[in-house]
Amino acid sequence: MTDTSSQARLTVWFGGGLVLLALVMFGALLFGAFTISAGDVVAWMFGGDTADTAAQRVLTSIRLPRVLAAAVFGSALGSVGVVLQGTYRSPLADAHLLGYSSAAGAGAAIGFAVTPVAAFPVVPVAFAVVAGAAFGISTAALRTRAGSERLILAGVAFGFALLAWTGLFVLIVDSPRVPTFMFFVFGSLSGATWKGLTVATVVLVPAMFALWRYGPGLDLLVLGDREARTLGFDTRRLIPTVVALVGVVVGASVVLGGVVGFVGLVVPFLLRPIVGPRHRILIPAAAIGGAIAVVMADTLARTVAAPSEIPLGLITAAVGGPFLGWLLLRGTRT
Amino acid sequence: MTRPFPLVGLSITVALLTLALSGCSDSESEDTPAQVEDTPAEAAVFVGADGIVVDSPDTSRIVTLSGDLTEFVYELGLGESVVATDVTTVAPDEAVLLPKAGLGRFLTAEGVLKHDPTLVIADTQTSPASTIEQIRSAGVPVAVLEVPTTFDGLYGKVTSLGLLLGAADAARELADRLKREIVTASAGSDDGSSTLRIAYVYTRGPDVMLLFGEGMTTTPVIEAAGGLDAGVDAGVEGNVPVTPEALAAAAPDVLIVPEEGYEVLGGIEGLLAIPGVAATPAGRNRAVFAYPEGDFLTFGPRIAASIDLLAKDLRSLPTVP
Repeated sequence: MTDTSSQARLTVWFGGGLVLLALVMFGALLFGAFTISAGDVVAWMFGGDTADTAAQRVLTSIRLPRVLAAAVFGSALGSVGVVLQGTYRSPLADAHLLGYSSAAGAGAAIGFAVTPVAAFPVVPVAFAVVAGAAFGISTAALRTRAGSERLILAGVAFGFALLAWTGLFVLIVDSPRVPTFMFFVFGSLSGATWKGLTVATVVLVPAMFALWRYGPGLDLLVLGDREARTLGFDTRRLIPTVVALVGVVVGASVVLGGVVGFVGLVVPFLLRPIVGPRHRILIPAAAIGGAIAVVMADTLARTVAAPSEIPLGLITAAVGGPFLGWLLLRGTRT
Repeated sequence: MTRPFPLVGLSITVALLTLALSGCSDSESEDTPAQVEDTPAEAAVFVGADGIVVDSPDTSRIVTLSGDLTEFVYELGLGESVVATDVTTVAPDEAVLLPKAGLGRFLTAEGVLKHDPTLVIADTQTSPASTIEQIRSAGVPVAVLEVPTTFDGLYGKVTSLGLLLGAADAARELADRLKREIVTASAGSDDGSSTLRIAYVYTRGPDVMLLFGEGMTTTPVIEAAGGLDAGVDAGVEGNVPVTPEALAAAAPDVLIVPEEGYEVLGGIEGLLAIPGVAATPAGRNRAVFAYPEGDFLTFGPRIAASIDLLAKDLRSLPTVP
């Protein structure tokens, strides 16, 4: 395949992905416990209807921040999955499985406990980011000694322990400021507000951009530490920086939507055969794919049992779990 | 080779900056309620339990998020304006027929806003708390009431609601009436010799069994009916899962259970099969009262009837050894 044709193919995939994301987000705006017609949504989007109706207020202050939060959250989960899989050279590496999400969740829980409900969640984000980054750096330090299978198992163990400690903390503090334990197990975007979205995005976007800039380094890491070093990459410096950034992204995203699994595993798995293994391409592709997946999953979460809600992570695990299992057992990859 | 270190620095700087900014916003939000508390009570402005003022709201479409709140709003004469309630509303009959704004602990902003309310009345147990913030961000005022656990607190709640709804006179009358009813209901039993140990055990079936203690609305009702709250006496705070040891420590002479859960358990035999129950004095004497959950646990305008019922049932007991 020539360079230009693969370039064109990628442009089509990315363009198609962005169009699909826009469609899915528009669709998500149409559904909710509050019934709003598609015509009203369009009128609201293009400012044709300036009346301050209840429908408009629901769209502006509840549904729009929620759909945007779902997209941002999903793009974080997808891109972080790609980066960890590259760093650990395993398609099973994932923020959820390796314990990053639980570590960030523990930090967020403590941060929430000291933050007033209606305030900007800056302290939870700060705590979660520090916890996520510290967790990443400390487990990455063990990476060279343990193989990736062991590392994943260790991550599962650390993750469960951190989840248990978070649960103990949530139950003992028993404060309306701290989300329920369910939030730290199966996640939810039901608390999405402009304030939370603002704080998370301000931290997420530069960190995700920085990870994207490390793409070529991650490409070399896939070859092996020694090979990467031969080619001039200082892996002893690259890996801690990358995992710290992953911790930052996971930390900011946990405050937005809690702990949600499988997006970071399934989305990269699906996209790698389509866009190829290069991280400069794969990271943004997984960001778009993750956003599409989470916006769809969250729309289900808030409509299936309306006016009640289903935790987001239940949907991603219920759909993503068996799907990933099937992909792995199909044996296209080892 | 790429060197994105400045970006790492940037994201950390941004995180720190926003952290610094949050310091300001935190102190702001803590200042507001303090200022509010300085205003004298005569200012006649409703101040929520969360410190948020709701001043002369439009009461044409009200959503109530707790059964006792629904009943109080009806008692204060604004029943016509209630457009939706929550699942804990069991009275009055016309309110039970209204649409439900959500399901207790999993309340969502859209589930409430779809009823197009002009005022939402919640309490400090409404959860998740982020829902209240979202409803407010949609421009709908949310009044947050205290959840009282004493009769004085109950009268105070009526007064607050009167202030909120512009029905101060009706509230004063209602509070006076409640006081009279409660005094009357507890008159026959209030002889100061409260030695009969009564425990409230909340159950929904074998999987959910909770012993109530300090800080629950059942305590003042038990005491007014002439009993001693065995859960409080055993040092239970809030509610704890029923264990044989917790029951042994409480050693109740009488058990009160919700009628609905009692039926799920299969009546007295099912209850006695729960480990530890049969060994209590109440279990040995089969001294178990089952009352509808929505009556006994709704700390609202019908509470005197619960006291009356319990006091009568206690008098009908054979003399406890």
